[in-house]
Amino acid sequence: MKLPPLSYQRPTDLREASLMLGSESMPAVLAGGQSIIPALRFGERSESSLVDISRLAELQGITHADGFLRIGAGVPMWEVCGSPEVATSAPLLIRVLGSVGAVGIRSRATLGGSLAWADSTSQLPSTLIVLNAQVETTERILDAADLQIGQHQTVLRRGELIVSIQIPEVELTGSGFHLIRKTHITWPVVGAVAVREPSGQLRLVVFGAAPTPILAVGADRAKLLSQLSSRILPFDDERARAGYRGQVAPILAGRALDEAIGSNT
Amino acid sequence: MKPVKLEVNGIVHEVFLEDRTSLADALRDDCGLTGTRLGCEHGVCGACTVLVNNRPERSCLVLATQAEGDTIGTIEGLAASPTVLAPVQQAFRQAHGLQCGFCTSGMLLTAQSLLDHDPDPSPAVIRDWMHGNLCRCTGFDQIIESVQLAATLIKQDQAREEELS
Amino acid sequence: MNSTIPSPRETNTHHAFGQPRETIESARHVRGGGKFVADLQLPGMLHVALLRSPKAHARIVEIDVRQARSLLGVHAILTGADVQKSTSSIYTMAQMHKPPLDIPLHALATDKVRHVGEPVVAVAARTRAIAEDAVRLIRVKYEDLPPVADADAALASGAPLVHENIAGNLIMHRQHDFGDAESVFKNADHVVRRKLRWPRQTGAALETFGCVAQWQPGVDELTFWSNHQSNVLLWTLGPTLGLPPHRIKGIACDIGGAFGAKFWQPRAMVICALFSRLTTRPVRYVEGRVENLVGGDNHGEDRTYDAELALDSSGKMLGLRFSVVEDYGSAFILGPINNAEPLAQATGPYDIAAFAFDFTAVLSNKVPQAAYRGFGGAAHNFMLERLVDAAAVELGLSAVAIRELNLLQPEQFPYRTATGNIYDSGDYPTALHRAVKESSYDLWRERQARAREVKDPTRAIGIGLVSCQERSVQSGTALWLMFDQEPGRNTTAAESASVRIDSQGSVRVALHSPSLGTPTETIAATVVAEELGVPADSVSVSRLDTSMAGPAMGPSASRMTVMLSGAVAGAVREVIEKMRPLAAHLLEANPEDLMWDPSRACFTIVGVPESSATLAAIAHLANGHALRLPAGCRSGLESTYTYDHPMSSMPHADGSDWGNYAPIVGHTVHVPVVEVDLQTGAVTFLDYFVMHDCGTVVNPDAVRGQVVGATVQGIATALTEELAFDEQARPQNTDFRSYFLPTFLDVPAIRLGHMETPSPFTYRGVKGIGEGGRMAAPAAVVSAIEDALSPYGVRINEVPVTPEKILKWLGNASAAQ
Repeated sequence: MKLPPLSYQRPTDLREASLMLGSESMPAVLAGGQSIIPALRFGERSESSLVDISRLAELQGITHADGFLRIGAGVPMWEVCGSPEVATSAPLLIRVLGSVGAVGIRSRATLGGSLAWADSTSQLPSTLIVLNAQVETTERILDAADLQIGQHQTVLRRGELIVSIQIPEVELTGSGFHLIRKTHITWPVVGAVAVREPSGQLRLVVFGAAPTPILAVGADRAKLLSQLSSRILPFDDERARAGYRGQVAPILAGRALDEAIGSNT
Repeated sequence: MKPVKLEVNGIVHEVFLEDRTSLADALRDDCGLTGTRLGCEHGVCGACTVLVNNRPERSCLVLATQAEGDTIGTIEGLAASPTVLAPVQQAFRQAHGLQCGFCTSGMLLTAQSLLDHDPDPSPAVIRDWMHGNLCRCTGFDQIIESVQLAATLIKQDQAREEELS
Repeated sequence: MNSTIPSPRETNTHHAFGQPRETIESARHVRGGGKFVADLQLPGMLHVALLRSPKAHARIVEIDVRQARSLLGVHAILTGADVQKSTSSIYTMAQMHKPPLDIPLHALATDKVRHVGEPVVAVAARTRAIAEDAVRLIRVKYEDLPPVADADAALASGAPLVHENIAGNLIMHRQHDFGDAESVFKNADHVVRRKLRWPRQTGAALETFGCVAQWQPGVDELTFWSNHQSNVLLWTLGPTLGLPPHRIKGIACDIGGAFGAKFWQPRAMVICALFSRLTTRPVRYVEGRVENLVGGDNHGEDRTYDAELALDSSGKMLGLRFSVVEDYGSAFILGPINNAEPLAQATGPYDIAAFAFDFTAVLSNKVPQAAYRGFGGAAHNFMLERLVDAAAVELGLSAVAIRELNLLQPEQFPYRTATGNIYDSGDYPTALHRAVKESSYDLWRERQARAREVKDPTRAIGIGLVSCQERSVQSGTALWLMFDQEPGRNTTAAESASVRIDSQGSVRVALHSPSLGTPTETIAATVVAEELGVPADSVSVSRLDTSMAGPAMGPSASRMTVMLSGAVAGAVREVIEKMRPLAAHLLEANPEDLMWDPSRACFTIVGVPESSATLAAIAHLANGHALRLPAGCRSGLESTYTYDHPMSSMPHADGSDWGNYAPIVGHTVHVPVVEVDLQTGAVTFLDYFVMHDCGTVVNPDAVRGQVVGATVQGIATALTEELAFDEQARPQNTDFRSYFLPTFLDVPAIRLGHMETPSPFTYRGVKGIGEGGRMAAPAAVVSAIEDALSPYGVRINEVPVTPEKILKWLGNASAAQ
């Protein structure tokens, strides 16, 4: 199963990348390539040209800035996992990344790519949402929670690229992460990630239970869970049916919250 | 078709490729390095794993042209010379970390990257690091033991070298 | 006719068997030096891509290949019409049936497509990528036909016909009663019954199927390089291609795993052969992964059981009977083997006198069924062990107690089972007791009891226990009883080996069949070491192509260790006998006074050990010194030995006794311990213990690898793997994102206990080991999960047991309360 014919371009900077992406040929963005290349092979995506942003200097780097941890959108997850800055400022992100694919995928896969791919069952966008991250694009700054609008759909415009992910450097007092998967090399079925802020505020995001991540914020565990119930809009795919997702999502949400709160009540 | 320079196992190959050609196909068909295996061509099985700048990557998900300028390591370059084996290769033989051999190239390179990263990995760490490489034959236990044996062999080699120096 | 290896003049003790040994094969594989079929680079080679049907059942109205033909790099295109013109129907079991069944199979679909993934058009091009580009340019117009999506649909009245001449989609219906099961069931105190469903799964070896064909015009010979695990297919291709069989040569490549699923892939072989005849170039086809899962002619058994076990009031098993409906898919290829093989161990390790079955096989619009590790034995053992567990519950016996009561005793061997198959040897009570002890079964039960007292609503511990047979070394007789095949068409399947010693005393072995990725080269070298006394790693092992190979079926049904060791030992012993007069000549002694001493690799005079003729000296004399040879001797030291099935017998013509067709029987006890998350249905392993007995062990590490690897496949059979179809017969699991192979993180470490009950009938007592783990693990894992859920009244009668199903069953159970 080979790739269909395609043309490949590697821009030297972001400006050039945006120009290429805006061209008539409607190219696809090639970041880590871990999702788009299989999709092109399977004919699930039909772009015939690729713009490789994986080496753009503007998308690299992990830095502290203005109370945010800034992670370049093109930084491979491998480097995020190994970064002492991330380990200090966003340990939950490292924990969750440890469940994404495997080292041989994280060596290329990027945070920006994962956000833009916007798979409803992915644990990563949800984790960035729960961490209240902001997404810097070539055009604007978005709340991570506002990025995805459907399965594989985002608010990103043609030619608009994610530049960095900015995670507020807040000392969290707890976090929790639970997911169900068929095997450890396939995408999750359903899961939840939660944090507890110093104020006692809880943030919960459930993935794999609706076309977009479900965010719930509040101080009360029970209320958060009840908020959730009306927003679960589960779907069928090759890994599970909607009914299962709908049944298990609140369970995992509860567990993530319990873990974040630090009790098992 | 365009010329692409690939540095593989320390040798620069100039090959003429279409943009769509994967690194795996370029290595196998154009560089004559067939030790890199294709098991699924969609990134799940890990049989095509090579080292790109010392990181394990799925060569079926990388275009060859993307790898220009990178340092690529394949199974053929894992040992220092054709007549010796790297410790991880020796360990997989000794501890029966393979049966049919089809996953072995990718498995060895992923194991090597683990040992570069963690010279003394526990079974749990090995399972986690290696789990992107599927093996359909062994059931994994003997691979885990092979990686542990490789760690021991490497330490023994190092101790011997220190003694000599 | 059963085989005997020429017996040595003296009794050897093991010196090579049972020793840890690096495999010969691993030397190349750790260097990436294995030569798999996709690694061949032949000058001018063309690459094939196939257009496969997106529809399960449709008439082909029109095929337009004009655009594809004009694509630069395309050399040739074939359609079903071309194939039909130049080949006969592919040889399948439909032709072996008496009378032949009208279920034709062509390499490319002709009138209509009968399953999703059926090859319709083939393109040969300069590269695989170009061939795939060309396939995308082909337009096929189909006229939809109603699909037959499963066995029920196939048998429904008025069902659409998969093959127009097979009424009711019914391939066959057979009933057999061995030992008057009917009256046994009528008079039994207890009858337990389960209806069980076993869907398709497949070997999913990491290497897909592939082949290269090279036609040599003038010589009119066809050479295939392929990764077929068996020579059988090559023997059948002649009639299809209109060639005398000896004009077809098969060269075995290294094989990247097979698991039964590379036994029968003729379609692409025929296509490559036709392309090579057209173009005179070598032509290669290698399955893509989707092609492998969807259209690879490799799906395993697909059946529904309605099964019953009769017991007396004490729990003694009296009879077993079942009806089974099997969905063979759209052609009739290997199917009957999947149903006949398990009957060699129909009643398992238990002393059950009466056995009966009612068997129905149907056609559907699925890809034809072939083989997957165990030839139907995994499903059969699952059925039997579900019944045993059910009986234990009904009679208030523990899982251990009901087995203690019914296991065959060591003094009962050789044991004749109800169907007539003999079990050679075994010690099942010891295996059970050791398994219970070494798995800490009682401690787990205590832990489970404590956990149940706490009444944790979120999780439950379950302990599984099964005792299963691992029949090995099949012969062919069961096949012609299973369906109306001409009796005696195929009785046994031999294996051959050649041994040659050169003038330097170096030993070479030639194997006559492929290896599916198990260390057969190492086994051969180890047998040479055992017999001759040279170091195993000094032995050079190669493979013959089929043009000069003797009768040699190759690996299937866990036969290679037994068959190959018999063949190699036979050849070595014949060579030793050829050396005897030469040694006598050198020692100036009487040949009868000499004995071969494998501890020193020399002939010595009996009672005068210091007087010896070394292998090197004899070999020197034997190769190139004809003028010095004793009278009656010729130069050369070699033997080709064909080893017949060690212990098979003819069935009775009336079918009352199926004879002895898979008599070398290993045994295993699996004890998995699981924890079930009652809120998510997730299953995790707390422990997994396997007790196994495969007779004498040749290579302990290799045996462990087989047992653990097959067990892990069986765990995935139990939990994740399924090739499902929707109501339109469209496959749902088409790649590795939806066919769920286990990773390092999905399976437990497997603890092993070894037993050795040597077979009295094989070389050194070896038995087969290749399939056993997968024949037991599904039953064991399901047993453990059912045990965990037993407080909720859940009964599990199918695989795979997904979290989704567990929650559904728990929901049903609580709703029922």
